[in-house]
Amino acid sequence: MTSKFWGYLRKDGKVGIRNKLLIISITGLTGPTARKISSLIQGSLFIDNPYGGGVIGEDKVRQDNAIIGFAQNPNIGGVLIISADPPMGEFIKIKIKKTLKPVELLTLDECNHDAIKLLELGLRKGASLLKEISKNRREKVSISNLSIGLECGRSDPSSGLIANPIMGVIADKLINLGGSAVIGETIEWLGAEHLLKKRAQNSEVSEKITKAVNFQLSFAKSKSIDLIGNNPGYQNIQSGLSTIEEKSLGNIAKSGTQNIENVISWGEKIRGKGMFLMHAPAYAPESLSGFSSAGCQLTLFSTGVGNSFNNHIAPSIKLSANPEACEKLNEQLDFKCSDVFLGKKSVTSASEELWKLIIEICSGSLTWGEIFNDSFEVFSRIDRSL
Amino acid sequence: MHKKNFDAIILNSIDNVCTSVKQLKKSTEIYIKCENEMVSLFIQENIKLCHKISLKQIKKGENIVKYGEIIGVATSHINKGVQVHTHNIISLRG
Repeated sequence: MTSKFWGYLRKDGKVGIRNKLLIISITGLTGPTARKISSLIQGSLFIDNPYGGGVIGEDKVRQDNAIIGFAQNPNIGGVLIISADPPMGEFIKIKIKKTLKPVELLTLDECNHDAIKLLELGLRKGASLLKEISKNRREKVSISNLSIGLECGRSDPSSGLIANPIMGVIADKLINLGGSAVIGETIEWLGAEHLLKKRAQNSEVSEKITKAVNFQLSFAKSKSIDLIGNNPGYQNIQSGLSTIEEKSLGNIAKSGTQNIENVISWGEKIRGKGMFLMHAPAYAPESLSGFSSAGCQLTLFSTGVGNSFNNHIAPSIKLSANPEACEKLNEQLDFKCSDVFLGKKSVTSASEELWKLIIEICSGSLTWGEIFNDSFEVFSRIDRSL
Repeated sequence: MHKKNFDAIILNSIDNVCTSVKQLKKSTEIYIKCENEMVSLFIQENIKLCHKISLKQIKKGENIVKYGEIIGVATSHINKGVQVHTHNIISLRG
């Protein structure tokens, strides 16, 4: 089975599966105009940080890490930074330049705080950047260049029994071939953390897993949150999941069986190869944005009853094993595996088909999420602003 | 018993619940796939797609086992062949 795909080899040695112009507003004041600029430049990706001034401490670190991570993601061919804070803009620009990809900074100050001028200059700069990066061409590269984010949302028992184990087979195979994968959603390790800890590559990583789970659990308790009805949520319960342990055991099935190399924070990059855990919120937009900033180029996203949200930078291959969802959600699901749930096909043969689809998507075929543009990136906060 | 079509699945032979792969009618005998084996069970309730069914009598306080792991504990006596969900089990962690 093939282990090569057609990707964009970047100057820093990383490989993109897409070649997008990113228009990123890094300050809340510039968001609305930057959105207009992006809407006028064909195929550009838009991200806006709705915050800026007054973000301090760990939130500031997470915010800057995420902006830099989004822009450095290998799926991004070039970046237009739009900022109402010139020093912050310069700081971000220097970090992005390390990847040697084309990057331009436009500040509201140099437009005399005139949004109309910002719109004009942004269009000119953005258009030039897109022209430049459109010269990039795909070449045949090894799958070892790939990092995949593994997500599940609106899960039901078919996710844990079938769709997630199929993703686990993919994760194991990718890691055997030299690639990387990451799962997040810390609260959904609860009740399954003993199994993750057994796979930790050393005692330090094992301790990080315990700490991360206990942190989320004590955070929920400190806010008097009962996990039942919250996680598993109303829809999970309605579709058959009864407890967080049941959901977690199904959730971690998508991580396969390889060693856990490390636990990263939201906004932090994957360093090295292999299987990683991301200590992060469980809700899809925050979780998926963590994968984008971590450097993942692709997302595998399983759902039980359906979940239309996708990753903005790292295209999401949406899969389900629920027979009713597979029948009803023809355009949402890129990969249907209800045949496995019904015993008509094996996990092995479905995972071989999914592997082929991954090669196709990495080489340029579109996911439904990309076609409908049902995606954006968000910033995960832990505290308040000044 | 070799019946290709099955109504529910078990992933680990030590589990005391199975999961339905289709909607099931009460007072019928269903077939459950466990690895390469097939077992039958008489069910006492209608069961929705993807919901759990008890494979044996489970006493109040006894662990509920799925994937070969504990997913919660019974909050009341659970008869064989009935639905196992939030009305009769609770998390040990949440």
